[in-house]
Amino acid sequence: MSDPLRAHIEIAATAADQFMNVYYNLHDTKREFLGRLYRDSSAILWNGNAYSGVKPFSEFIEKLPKSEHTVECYDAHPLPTADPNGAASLILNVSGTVQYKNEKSKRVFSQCFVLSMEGTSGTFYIWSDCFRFV
Amino acid sequence: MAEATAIAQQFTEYYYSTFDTNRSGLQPLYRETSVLTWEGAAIQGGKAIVDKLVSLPFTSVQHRVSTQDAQPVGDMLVIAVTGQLLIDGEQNPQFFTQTFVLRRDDAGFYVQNDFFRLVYG
Repeated sequence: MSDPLRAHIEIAATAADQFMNVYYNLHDTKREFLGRLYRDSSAILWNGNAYSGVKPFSEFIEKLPKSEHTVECYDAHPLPTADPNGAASLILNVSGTVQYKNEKSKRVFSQCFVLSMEGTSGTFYIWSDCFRFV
Repeated sequence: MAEATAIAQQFTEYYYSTFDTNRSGLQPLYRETSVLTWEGAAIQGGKAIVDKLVSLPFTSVQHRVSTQDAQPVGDMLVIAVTGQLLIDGEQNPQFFTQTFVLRRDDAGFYVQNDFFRLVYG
């Protein structure tokens, strides 16, 4: 594999790692702030249900029982940009387990994010999100 | 969105039936710029990718897709698949998750990014 690609993948993995920690931490401990990672243009699929807009998705997600996610593994690639404004993008695949407070056993999940950087802010927002129980 | 779903369905049917019968037939689906991350290891380019897939140590494999979700992202199509794998006639399936990013060139749709992971409960 080419060295530049390897370097790009490592950078993507580091950015992905940081994003992932923020995401699941918010989901598990400060759910009311999770919506800030999305935009109204975000394409969201949650276990087969499509959500359009931050508000409807936030309303749904806040009703879920308290969660505790354990990430088992993740992979990231840089992507030629998804954003029409030309910002950097990456695709992140996460798999792991999640324990909901009202359930006896953990569930296995798989989640695919496409992240895009907002201008020069250095922060990522979620361009698309696809979550599934496995 | 309906079109994305239809394309995704056709693609995954073709991909998995080719994988399960003749892995070397997957080569036209990749390009030199394609990247596969297989169980955490990144591999670039159609030839290297197919070499990896062909070298996987099983005689027979059967993919059963459980779910697939397709989302257009810019000029790309992201397909997230979950399913089961039956390897070498084993009765107990393994679970997998696979994500494809499809793009289009003059020759048609191809896989630009591919991620495969076995999933353990």
